[in-house]
Amino acid sequence: MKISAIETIRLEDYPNLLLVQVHSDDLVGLGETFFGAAAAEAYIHESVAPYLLGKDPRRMEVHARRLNGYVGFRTAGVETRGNSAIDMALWDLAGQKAGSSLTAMLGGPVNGGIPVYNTCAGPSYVRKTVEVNPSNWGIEETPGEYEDLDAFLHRPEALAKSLLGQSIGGMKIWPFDPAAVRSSGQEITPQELDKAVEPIKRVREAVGMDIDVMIELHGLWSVTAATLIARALEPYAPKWIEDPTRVHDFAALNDVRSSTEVPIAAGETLGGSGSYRSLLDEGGADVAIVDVSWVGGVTEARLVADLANERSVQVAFHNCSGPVTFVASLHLAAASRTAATQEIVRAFMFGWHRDLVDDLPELHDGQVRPPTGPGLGVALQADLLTRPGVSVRQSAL
Amino acid sequence: MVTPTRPEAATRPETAALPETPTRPEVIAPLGEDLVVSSIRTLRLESDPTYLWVEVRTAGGASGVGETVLGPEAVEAYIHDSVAPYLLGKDALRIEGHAQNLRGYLGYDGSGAETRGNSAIDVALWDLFGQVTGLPLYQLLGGRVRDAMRVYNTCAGYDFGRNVTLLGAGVVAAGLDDDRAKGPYDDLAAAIERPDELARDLLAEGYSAMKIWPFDEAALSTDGRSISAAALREALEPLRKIRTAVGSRMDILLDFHGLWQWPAILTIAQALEEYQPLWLEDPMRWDSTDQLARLAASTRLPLALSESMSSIVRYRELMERHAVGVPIVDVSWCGGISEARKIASLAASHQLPVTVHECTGPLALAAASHLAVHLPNAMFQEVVRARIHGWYQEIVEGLPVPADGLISAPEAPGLGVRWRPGLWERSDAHVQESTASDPRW
Repeated sequence: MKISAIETIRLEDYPNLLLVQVHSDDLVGLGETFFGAAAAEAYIHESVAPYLLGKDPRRMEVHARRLNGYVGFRTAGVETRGNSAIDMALWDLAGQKAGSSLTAMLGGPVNGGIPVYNTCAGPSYVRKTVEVNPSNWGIEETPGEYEDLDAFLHRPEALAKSLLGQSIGGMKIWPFDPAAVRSSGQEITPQELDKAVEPIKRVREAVGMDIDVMIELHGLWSVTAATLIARALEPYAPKWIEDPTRVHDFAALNDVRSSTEVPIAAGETLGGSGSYRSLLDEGGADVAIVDVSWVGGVTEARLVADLANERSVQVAFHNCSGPVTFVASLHLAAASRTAATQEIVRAFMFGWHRDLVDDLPELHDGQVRPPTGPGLGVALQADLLTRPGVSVRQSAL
Repeated sequence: MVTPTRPEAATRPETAALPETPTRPEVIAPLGEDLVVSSIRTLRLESDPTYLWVEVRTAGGASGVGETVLGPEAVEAYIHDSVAPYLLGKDALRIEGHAQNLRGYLGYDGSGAETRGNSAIDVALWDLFGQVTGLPLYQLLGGRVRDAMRVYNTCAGYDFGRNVTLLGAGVVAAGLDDDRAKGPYDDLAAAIERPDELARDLLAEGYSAMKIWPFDEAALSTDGRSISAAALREALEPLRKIRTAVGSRMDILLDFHGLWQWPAILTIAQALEEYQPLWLEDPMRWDSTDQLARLAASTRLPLALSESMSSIVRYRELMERHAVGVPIVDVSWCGGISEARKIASLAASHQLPVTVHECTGPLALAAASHLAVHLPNAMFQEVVRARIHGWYQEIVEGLPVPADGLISAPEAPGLGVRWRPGLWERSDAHVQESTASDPRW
């Protein structure tokens, strides 16, 4: 088996998304990363292709080590994101060649399905720029179905009921972000605290403890402010608080974690499994969050899951970008002993994701299971590459 | 009022007193429309395929220059795709604010393309600050604490690293074959073939310290997992020859490029003690924190770490665990001057020296020379004499050149260097420009 071509695919409508196809022996492996797509694309053709073309795609471990460059390792920067997309595609190819699903290649399912929680974003959340703050929330002027971000801000009761109506047992919201923008995360006033606590308070009043609520803080806060936030949330028993401070400072996370009874989830922006070893060794998190399209691909995400499994710490796969990341996450979660819940964005999953790939799994009784076909088990829609606004760049032997 | 063009370099004064810079305005211009960023240009040259040069211009015509190295196409895409939409139209001199705001949601912890791009931009903004005020960078940072800094020579040849990719070990031995017969400073070949002669030659030129990496070949043959007795003996040979030829008049610094694993590196460190090298640089990758701490505790030789780091949090970890004796920063990789000075301050708070990496490029050298005379805890300035006298001169004018084993910072405003005329118009130049009038932003 020999890699004959590497294609990167960008879509005008989804400028943050970079899809990758790796060709070998008439098979096509699919991968993906998100944010800074132009730079990741340039990296793949400039640095990855000269190394990878002509090589056997099934030596994923070797390629992952070799693609870990002289600079840009142990971070979810451009290089690691590009490598993530490539690594996913190599696993997909290896699975297709072997006739084995990714779940099976990872050791087989260890659970009968995982309940999902919904990240309450709308269809256009973080679609246009690389900002993760209110400027890129993408709330449409006339919110349609699943404008869950607008809903958590203004109609949290209805949102919780709508989710429960679909048997979705958890919801993640980020009502503190506007206050962080005001003070650069350095302080939060009692008034701001009251306002930001309002959505979870109203959810509890409406449905009690029937739904789990996760609070995402996007790494925007100082330890001092994050501690105030955590304590203010305690009466409403959130399932976890996520990324209270920038997650590369494990000591700071540990400070926040030690100050509150609310569990701390952390990690989606970390690159490389070594970061997670430090995160867990230094007591930075109760739940390790890992994004397969940012951490370094299936190879690194599996190592993170192993680290978490070994410590009996919950691992959760971040899924708030494209459809390939969604599917790869499902495989990883199915094969990870300490995975307990799977993030979905129903606005994406029931919406634009289906426009890009075929055979996307469905939600059944609040759970999603990975596809059973070989490899990832999904492919790009047959006409995608010929649609207007789609650009393809290829490096070939 | 804004300096419209890059001023001519002032002549170096005889005394250490602050020079009168000829173009310094009488009153520093108030912030206004003139200082709004109006253009960001990037330059790649086919002659130097690993480099990216950056120029930031303001509406008033002032400009500043920056540089980074490795993966230049990815960095170029990042700058035009992500930096330009943010920076164009903003006040160029809010340098610290830009450093904070350009630290993205991803890629903030390590020297990935985003951090390398931000480094080039940050250096350019500091240079621009100097152009606008007419002051050299060291003065903007708070002035000199010394007139000149002792240098060491990194024994690379003329074209070392000029044609490699960022993927790993290719960095190490690259350029060896290209360097012979290009001039007197084929230092990489000399370090391997005639280290004793090289040491004498360096001493004669005033250099009293040299960096070599004789263990890389052994590392590549085993992926750093083990070293045989024969390979160890062979790698030690240059040290033995240097000590035999010039005794302890020459300080030796050893670079391992992060290629080794435990416990092979322990074997190496133990064998090296009798040769008293001044430091062991990047013996393992810097993220092997615990093993590095163990190594540091197992040897009398200080560990120097690491040109490929960026985040101050990682430096803090290494310092708190006593894993690092000499923190190293690279201004074109770590996030720029804004980040380098913070890391240096952190090192000072741990009573540690700091040294600024310069095996990167001419602008990194210029910036490093200013930090070397400004930072209270600076120790040594790295230089590559083959490059300073070689291809660096093809890129810029006004570079500081070591004399008597010392280097000073240029006195001209900002970094103190200018593009070689015609550089951006060369036939092998790939120029991309983002401007404030671009309809995309």
